[in-house]
Amino acid sequence: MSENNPVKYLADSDTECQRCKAVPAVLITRKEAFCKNCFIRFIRGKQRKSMIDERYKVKYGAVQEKIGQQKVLLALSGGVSSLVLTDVVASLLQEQIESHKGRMGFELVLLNIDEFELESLNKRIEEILPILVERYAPVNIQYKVLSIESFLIDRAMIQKVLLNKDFTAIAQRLSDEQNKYTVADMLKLCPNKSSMEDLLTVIYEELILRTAFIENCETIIYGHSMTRIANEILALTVRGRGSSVYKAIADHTVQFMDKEFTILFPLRDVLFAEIIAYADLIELNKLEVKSTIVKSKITKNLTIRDLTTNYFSHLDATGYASTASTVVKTGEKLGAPQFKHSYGRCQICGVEIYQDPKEWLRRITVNDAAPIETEEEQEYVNLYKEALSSSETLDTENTHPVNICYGCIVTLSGAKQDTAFVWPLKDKDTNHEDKKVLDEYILTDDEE
Amino acid sequence: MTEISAKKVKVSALCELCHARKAVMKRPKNLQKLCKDCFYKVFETEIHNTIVDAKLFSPGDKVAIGASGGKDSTVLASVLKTLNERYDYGLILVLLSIDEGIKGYRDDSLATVKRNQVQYEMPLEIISYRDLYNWTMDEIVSCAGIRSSCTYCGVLRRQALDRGAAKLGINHVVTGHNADDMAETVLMNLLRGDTARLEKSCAIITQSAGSPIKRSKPFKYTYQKEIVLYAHYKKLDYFSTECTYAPEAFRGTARELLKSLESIRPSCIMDIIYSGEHLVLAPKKKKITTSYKTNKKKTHTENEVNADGSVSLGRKKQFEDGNRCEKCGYLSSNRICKACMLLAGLEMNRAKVSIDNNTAVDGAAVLTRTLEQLSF
Repeated sequence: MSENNPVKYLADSDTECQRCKAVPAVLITRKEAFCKNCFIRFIRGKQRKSMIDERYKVKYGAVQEKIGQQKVLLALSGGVSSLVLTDVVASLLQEQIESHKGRMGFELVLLNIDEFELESLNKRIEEILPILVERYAPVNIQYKVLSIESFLIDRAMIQKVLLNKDFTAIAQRLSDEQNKYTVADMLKLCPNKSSMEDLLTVIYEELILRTAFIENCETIIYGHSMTRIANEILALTVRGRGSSVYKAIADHTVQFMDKEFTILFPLRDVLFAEIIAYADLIELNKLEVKSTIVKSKITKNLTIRDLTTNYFSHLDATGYASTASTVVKTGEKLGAPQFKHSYGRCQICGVEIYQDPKEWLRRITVNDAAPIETEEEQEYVNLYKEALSSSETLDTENTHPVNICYGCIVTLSGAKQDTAFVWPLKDKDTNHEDKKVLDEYILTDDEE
Repeated sequence: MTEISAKKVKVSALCELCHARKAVMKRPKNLQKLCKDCFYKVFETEIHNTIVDAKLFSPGDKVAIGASGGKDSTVLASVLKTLNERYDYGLILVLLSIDEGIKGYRDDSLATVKRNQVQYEMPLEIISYRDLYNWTMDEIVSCAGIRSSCTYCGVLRRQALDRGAAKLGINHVVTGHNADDMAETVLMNLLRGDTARLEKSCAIITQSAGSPIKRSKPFKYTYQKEIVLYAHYKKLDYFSTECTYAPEAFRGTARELLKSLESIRPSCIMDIIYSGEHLVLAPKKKKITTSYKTNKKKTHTENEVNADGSVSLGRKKQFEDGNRCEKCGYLSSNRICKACMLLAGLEMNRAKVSIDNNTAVDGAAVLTRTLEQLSF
């Protein structure tokens, strides 16, 4: 461990725990010495504070009737943060059961979405889930594992998307025989690793919301640590998605399929180093699901999130560890961008578009050629045109424009003309509610 | 060109825009393969678009170019001259340089600016820290140490540029800040939690109310690498040494991050600026303080003593734009402006006695220069 690690472990020291003043401390964090139990209590306290709302408490009588039984969905990747969150929340439920004669404030559902690079994991999530749930008996925890492929509900939505030189995007419907894409195939068509990472986030987010809807969960909780949230803010900014920072990292509510969902990050005040310490202390780390892929040392092979992650861990090591907390606090102060017009929603990722990205890009990335001056130059142009007509050009018939946000333009750029990029596009005008109506009343779109 | 006629260029090696000339470069912004002519065309047009969209100038404006002799400001002077003639902006352009007094660095770069003055046929005005503040940067560093050099230099230069412009009767200074600088600023403001600057970090024009002088950045969307390429192909005469008083360590980490990000995704500089334009603070929520806390406050009647020894009266604290420094009359949000504050601090530590012809205060730049000129 480096000297500057925010959490300092004490091996058989004489330092006394500053909280209980009874037992020797095991670690120092935030300039305070903690024993094992006090540290666990301290971390759990962070979650208790974040979920202090009435609806997560054990309710009786009128309150119970008014609020109703609550269900909380926990997004469990199997990584150390989500495992710690599971432990923290399950411990809350255990306490509730003890002090309220078997009653719980809410039901807990764990959701795991199969990793895209499934083979690369050191163990299967299915193996650890029963062991994990067993730890917290008599608390009854449900769990669900979802394949990433379930992102595709309607094959008809899949279209080929092309980005033009002037930054407009067009889409083309696929014939049934062409349309054999799986989600994994679509991700493989991404122009680069960072794009794939960007779109994976879109997939996860949508799948989690959908599951919450199906399972009737009113709240969704994520295990993001403070460090992770700071990283997210930076990565979003770098990917040209700065306009969604204010929403993505705050505790907030989302409308999805005309229902409202509360999204919380109960560990937002906990440093990643503290999460690791917590997992060590209660021996959760043996359950951790890790990727066995060794991250490349060469910058070119990394993704944007890899780089920002490295940046923050580097800052931790060089004594700028407070940066993460600064970034999170800054992010929390942000609000919705103020622009006069709205340009609708992105048909790929669904975010609201505030400033026309096509026009913005066009002004600063000019694509006009300098005039042709000599005859020789004209000859080359003719040669080029000949070569162009002989090679197959993309059939531009049956295409229609697609509304996409800046972040998705960036993600798409670099996609090859011939293989293109394929994605289930959202409808342009109809929002989810309308979609639901259509789904309910239209039997078939096939009129023949 | 002779080489083209000597050897047929393959169609795949042609410029991606005109398809008429051989591509000689990869454009840093989007990796397009371009010929020189098309590169000049897109580079200049993009800057023109930026100027027109932001309505930076109106005909007859007298504009000072903050010229350091470095690549950014040299290219800025060259491009502005070109665009001014091509699109008939009707601008009167003047070069304005600041002499911070860094021996072995600024004296050489000022020589470049003087050559630029002749090359671009523009008047040149040099304002020196020595005349304005009776300090040179070398003296400041030897007095206050190298770590805070950028703080002093930045504050003093900002004022010096304004004063220089005012002396010339100009109310608009353009600087060579490029897209890389903008992106770096967005990241820095995020990382440092500078919410006051966060919203403004992407503004192309900055001006405080009450100040007659506005500043703008025509290179807001121009990549640093393209500026270097432009200077290279146009064979512009510029000075290419970084200031010897290196940037502060934390900014260095952000710069490094940006460089590695750019290597995996060249568009990231634009992406960060686009993001930056969307970062706005949420309207402030009123803090609800419980009664016991307010009661506690009332018993607190101690007054804070300001840095200059004065005590603030219980007036409503309100930030007034256009407030003036009591000492020098320069625009300031406090009673005494930051420059006067820093200078007063320095004055206290100034050596009472000095040695004639003392070369010890000369900064590291002189040594570097001397070493460079050694030959065996």
